[in-house]
Amino acid sequence: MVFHQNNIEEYLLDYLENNLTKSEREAVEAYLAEHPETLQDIDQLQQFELQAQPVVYQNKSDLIRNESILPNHLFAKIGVAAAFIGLLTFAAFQFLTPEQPKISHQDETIEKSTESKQVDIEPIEEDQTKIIEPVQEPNQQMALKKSTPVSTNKQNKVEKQDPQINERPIKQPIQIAQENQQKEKVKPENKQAIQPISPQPVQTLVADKAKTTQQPSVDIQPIQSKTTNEIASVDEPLRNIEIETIAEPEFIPVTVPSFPQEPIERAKREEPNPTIENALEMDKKKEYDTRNGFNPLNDILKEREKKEEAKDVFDDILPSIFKKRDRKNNTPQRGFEIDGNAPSLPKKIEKQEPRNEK
Amino acid sequence: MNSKEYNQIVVEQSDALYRFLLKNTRNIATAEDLVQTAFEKLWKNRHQVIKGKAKSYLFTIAHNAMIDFFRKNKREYATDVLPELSLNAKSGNFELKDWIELGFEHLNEQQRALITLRDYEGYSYKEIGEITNLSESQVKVYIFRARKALKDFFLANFKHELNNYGFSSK
Repeated sequence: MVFHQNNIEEYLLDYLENNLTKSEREAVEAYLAEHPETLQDIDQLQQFELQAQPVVYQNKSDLIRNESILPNHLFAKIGVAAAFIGLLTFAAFQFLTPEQPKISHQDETIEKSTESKQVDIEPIEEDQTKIIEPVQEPNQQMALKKSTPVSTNKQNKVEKQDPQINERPIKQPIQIAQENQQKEKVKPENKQAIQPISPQPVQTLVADKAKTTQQPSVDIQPIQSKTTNEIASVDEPLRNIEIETIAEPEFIPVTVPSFPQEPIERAKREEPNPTIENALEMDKKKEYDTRNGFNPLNDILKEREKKEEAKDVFDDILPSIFKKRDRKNNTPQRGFEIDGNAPSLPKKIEKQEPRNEK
Repeated sequence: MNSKEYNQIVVEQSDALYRFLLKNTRNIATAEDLVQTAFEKLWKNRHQVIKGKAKSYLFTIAHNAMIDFFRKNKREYATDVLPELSLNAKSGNFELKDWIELGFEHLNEQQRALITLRDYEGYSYKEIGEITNLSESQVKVYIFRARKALKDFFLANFKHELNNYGFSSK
């Protein structure tokens, strides 16, 4: 092994501590023989030895620690297990308990109405028509609740009624004829125009129909059975109207808005009435003010004074640049104009140098 | 490593660690703070540290914390051990301890750390290399240079006293 100045330092320390092999030691000694300076350093360093001095750290009690009964990782495991058990119990509670759909109060009332109605409507669907089947929306259901039970209950009643009661329909054609006469009186000229049914006549007829249903002596069943014969004797346009009103009794209330129309009371603006008494009171106030120094001319005089003061301020604040031109002399009164020529400044008197007289 | 082994290391190594940090920082409060931070990190990572490696791990943490401290407080750092030594130097009452302290003043931070780890704590060159993140050959070279610098300082300033102690400067 060949040593030189760059790699000898690494082996000199081991040479001092006797940690070299024989071959390495001989190579180092050969190098030291060639370099007496390093040999001197080695001899001096062999006489030095650093010894550890005793130093005591007094705050050892602050460093000593004791582990808790449950270490942190156990706390984490327990927490995870508790969360898992909680989820399981929640899931079990959700699956085992019967489903109770949440229904609002409005939906509950609508369902109750539909249930009660379905009991009544079922025979109608079988016997008469299928118009009631597409009932889906709650508004239509509510409308049916108002209209249909009257007819269905009364059908059953008619079936159960005594023959004395069945004699009542004798009066009904008369009433219907009277109603038709009233309708003719209402719109005798527009008979042909009514044939393409417009919404307004339907509403009026519905109103009349509601009136007839409200009367206790009137039943709807004879309208469907017997009134057709009676209607045959009436004019043709009215018959068409009656047929349509009878064919779609359940959908008619949908067209009629059932919003409560309450009169809207608005707060009226309280304006002083230009009565003679108010005028007298105003005159009295004016008189009182004049006694205490009120004079309407004072306000006018004050405004004029303010305007004059403003003019003075305008004149004082603004520089003389905006001053008016004196028309007579065609010269600015003060200062100079913007467009005009500025007044000439006094020229500096230059010192006259003494002439060099030869 | 459990808490019992940790407390055993506290009892065995806290003095050595404090001495290492005090020799290098030359400030009592700084050395105490660094001891606490080193043991706190050891406590946090005690489950990943084997007991046999705990001492070198502790000194590695302390050495890194000390280097960070030097980097942060390079300019405004002040020592509180040096004034006493300067007073002793003026009065002429020297002891070997004071010589060594004054000699340490003339070493750089790296040389000081390597000398203390080798000569005070007795670490091998390999362990010192692991603690200071240096190669073994680098550690040997730097320690040799540090010792030579100390020797030159002592011979330049305390030649007479050294001769009284039987030192022969041939």
